[in-house]
Amino acid sequence: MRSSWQVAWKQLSHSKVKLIVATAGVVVAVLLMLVQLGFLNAAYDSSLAVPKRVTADLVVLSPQSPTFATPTQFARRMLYRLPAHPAVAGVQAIYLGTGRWKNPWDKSERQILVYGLGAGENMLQIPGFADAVDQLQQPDMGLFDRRSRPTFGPVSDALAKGERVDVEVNRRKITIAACTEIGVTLGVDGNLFVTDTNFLRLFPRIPGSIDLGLIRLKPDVDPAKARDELVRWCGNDLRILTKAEFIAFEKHFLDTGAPINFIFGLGTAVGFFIGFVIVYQILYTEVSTHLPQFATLKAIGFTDNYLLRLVMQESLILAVLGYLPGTLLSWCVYQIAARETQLPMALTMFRLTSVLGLTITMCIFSAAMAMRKLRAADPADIF
Amino acid sequence: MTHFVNSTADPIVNVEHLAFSFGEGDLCKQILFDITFNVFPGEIVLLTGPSGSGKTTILTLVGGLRQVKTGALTVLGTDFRTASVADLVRTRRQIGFIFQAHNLLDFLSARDNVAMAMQLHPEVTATESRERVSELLEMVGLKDRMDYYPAKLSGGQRQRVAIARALVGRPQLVLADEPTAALDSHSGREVVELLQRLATDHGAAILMVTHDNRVLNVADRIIEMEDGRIRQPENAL
Repeated sequence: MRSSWQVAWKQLSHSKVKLIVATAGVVVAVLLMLVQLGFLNAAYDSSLAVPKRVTADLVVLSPQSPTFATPTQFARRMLYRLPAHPAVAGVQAIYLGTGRWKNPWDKSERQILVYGLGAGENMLQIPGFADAVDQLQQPDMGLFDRRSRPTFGPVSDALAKGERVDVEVNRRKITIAACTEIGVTLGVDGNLFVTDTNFLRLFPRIPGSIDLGLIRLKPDVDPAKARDELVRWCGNDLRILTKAEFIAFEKHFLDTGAPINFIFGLGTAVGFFIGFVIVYQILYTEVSTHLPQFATLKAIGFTDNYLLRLVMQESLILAVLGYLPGTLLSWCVYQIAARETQLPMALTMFRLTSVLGLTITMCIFSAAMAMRKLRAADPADIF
Repeated sequence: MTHFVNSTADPIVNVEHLAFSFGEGDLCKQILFDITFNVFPGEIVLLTGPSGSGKTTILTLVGGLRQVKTGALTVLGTDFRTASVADLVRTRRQIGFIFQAHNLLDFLSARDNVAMAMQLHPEVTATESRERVSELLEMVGLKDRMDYYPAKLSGGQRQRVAIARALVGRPQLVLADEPTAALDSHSGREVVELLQRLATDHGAAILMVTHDNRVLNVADRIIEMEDGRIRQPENAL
């Protein structure tokens, strides 16, 4: 009994029920904060996964496209003009379309995002595409993303067993040549990669319109400078971005155009608030039911600071007690969520420390509120 | 009385022309009028008188729990008129308080309740502090109940834990408010003997409010209060 930490612990642990309730409050708060922040990050990471696979120096979009994933089409000839510029080494046209995939096992239909990759140097890094390119150039062949949601059927298992997988996309029979690994987003359940020729078989459209253009510059050309010159050529008809600007553009869309920040931010705030209220309630009750005792301690020579420290220490003990199981539970939720949604859920060190910081802040806030009651402990009233 | 009262030494408590009132303006109600008395080392002084006569107010003033407004009050060498809050807290650490309500912390065992008061005396080593705690709990007859929580102790036993808590810091002054009121005659007697021993062995001064006739015979002096004044001239000065 030489330290106020011991007193703080004994006060907290005296009633096991109270201790469990308070700890559970912190656990729920930690769980909510970690899971919500996890989903928020997963939403970002997954949505940026494809933009980050772009290896081109410059990216061309229609100025009307809010994001590459929901593109407005533009004329292919505008892209094909660009190699006339001395800085440009080559271009690639990319086609995007949402097709209806019929799961050949249970005959259910799902939407799948289909990428048509134009000829020339492939500037979208899709593992396995180059290896299977001979097959993929045959009519009606596709490369399937094995990290698509399981509702598309056990495609990669069947391929691994050496079976032939024929599926129906937009009422057309497509043979899956191989699998790749890209990952899905909150809005996209599955990915299929085909050549431009095969894409146009699946999606009859106005000839010569494309969704995305990729540009390879000649070595030693500054991308920003080249972009400025190309923009002067194209005027307002195209949006030309460097690779870094393209990722920033996609991120900006997620920040402003999609409600994910708000939804998951709110979830995190709710977690914080629940923890705050529960810890505050427990500490407030502890302080107010012990007011005469605390007044006695003041009378016999304990300072206000000692009592404030006691309450603060109790809140910190609760923060630590709740954080550990809360983190463990979150880890389980991450595993389940990653399996169920195929989203990239990783419990990063950065997030763990941020949430520890949030938890401690939450508990300190609760303690600070509960302490206001301590001033009511007047040692003169106890005789 | 058989024990030694050192009335030539500096008094532990020196009260001169002390007056006190609650409230302000029209609502001002004066509680104490022109109180003057001393308490010397080793002395046991009783404060008696009907309720409302101001006994407890004197205890809170001497204990540094209320601000002195009129008159002079010096306790353990600290002038309470000019003392800062920190001075008051420092002085209070040398005073043993025994309250009518024991106010033990329900989440600490008897031993821990007493040991907690030793946190105010960091100069005492952990070993010595542990020994003192056991020694005092033994002295108040709770040897077998040291690890009991207050909820498992009787009223008298709780009061004795509170007394042990007040005495564990070896105070030079004990302020006690009806310490025997909640006790049966046997344990009441024991508590009084304990206080008496503290006065004799350690030269502590004891100022006690009591209505209990059974303890009157241990007093060196009795100050009788009535309507905020001392009724009789003190008989031992």
